[in-house]
Amino acid sequence: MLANQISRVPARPLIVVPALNEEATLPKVLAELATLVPNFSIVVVDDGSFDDTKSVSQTRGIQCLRIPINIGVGGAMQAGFVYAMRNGFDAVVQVDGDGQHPVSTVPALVEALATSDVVVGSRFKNETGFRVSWIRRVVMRFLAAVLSRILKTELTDVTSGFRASGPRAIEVFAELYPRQYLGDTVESLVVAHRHGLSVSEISATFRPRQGGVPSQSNLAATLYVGRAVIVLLLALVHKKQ
Amino acid sequence: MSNIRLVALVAGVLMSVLTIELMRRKSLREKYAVLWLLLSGFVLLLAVVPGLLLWFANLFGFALAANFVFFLAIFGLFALAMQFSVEVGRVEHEVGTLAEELALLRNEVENVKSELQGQRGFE
Repeated sequence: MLANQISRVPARPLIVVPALNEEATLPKVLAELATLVPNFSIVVVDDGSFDDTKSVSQTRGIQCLRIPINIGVGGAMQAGFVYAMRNGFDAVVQVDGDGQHPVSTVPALVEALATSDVVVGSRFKNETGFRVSWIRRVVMRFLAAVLSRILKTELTDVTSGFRASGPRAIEVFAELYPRQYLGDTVESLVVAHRHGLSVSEISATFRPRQGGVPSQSNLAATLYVGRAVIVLLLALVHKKQ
Repeated sequence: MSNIRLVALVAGVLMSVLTIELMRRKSLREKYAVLWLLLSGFVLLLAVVPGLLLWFANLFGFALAANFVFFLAIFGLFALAMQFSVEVGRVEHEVGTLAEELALLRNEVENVKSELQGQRGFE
């Protein structure tokens, strides 16, 4: 925690929903948001979907950013951060369009922004019983351990996209949010650290995908192992910007 | 150390240093960074371990070790050029898509402007 940090609970939070071909699950996510956190503004970021994702937000009168090409979840989130800056929001919460992120935990994420620039919803904190293949578990543990050393904070889940970012973080991420796969989670923490942002975690229980098809094949999920480590090593090598 | 091994060593070191520096400045995307690091590592390995190059060359049936080096380099560059061709094609396509969207957006904005001006005209 830095001495010059001024923080309080954000008064104008924005939910950013990155979505790639999520016409099946997006309606459910938006319905849940309307029920559980009706006072939050929402923007859906359509990352070049070729299904009917865009009509989902249109028919519900929810703001939508339609990216003409597929640039990945990092790019979609960066668009969300820029949108937040230009429209005066002081917090951004990422809620994925596939329904895995628990909407009921959103208020807790935002509240934790009173004492931290970035709050991560961790699947492993407090042993919420989250199951994942042993390879991924080992890699995630290793990454968390390394990043905990670097950030000097105890982190347990560094590949979780379920996060809230406060005003200082929004400013940083609007400028440079990593776009490649796993960069938006792992590398963004290194970026946060380089810019003097504080990171903390609260526990969160994800749900299985609520429908539709994952954007990753099994082979890609396996290559995840190598890529995560490489992304981290590269992030560590980067010159400070 | 023989001259040629010295040359190979210097080349390997230069490659590694260049790659790492470009990585530091974020000029290399992850996939290329990994590729060039592996390549530099391989060059260094061949330079440092005596007889390794000859062993490889014989393994693949090359009469001269030099032939093997040329073959590797040419094949490698060929693959890289092919990769670049594919990527450039993709990027060109994406730029085209963005250009089209821009035109459509401009058209929408113009229509909205006229609409607004039209409304003002009737006041």
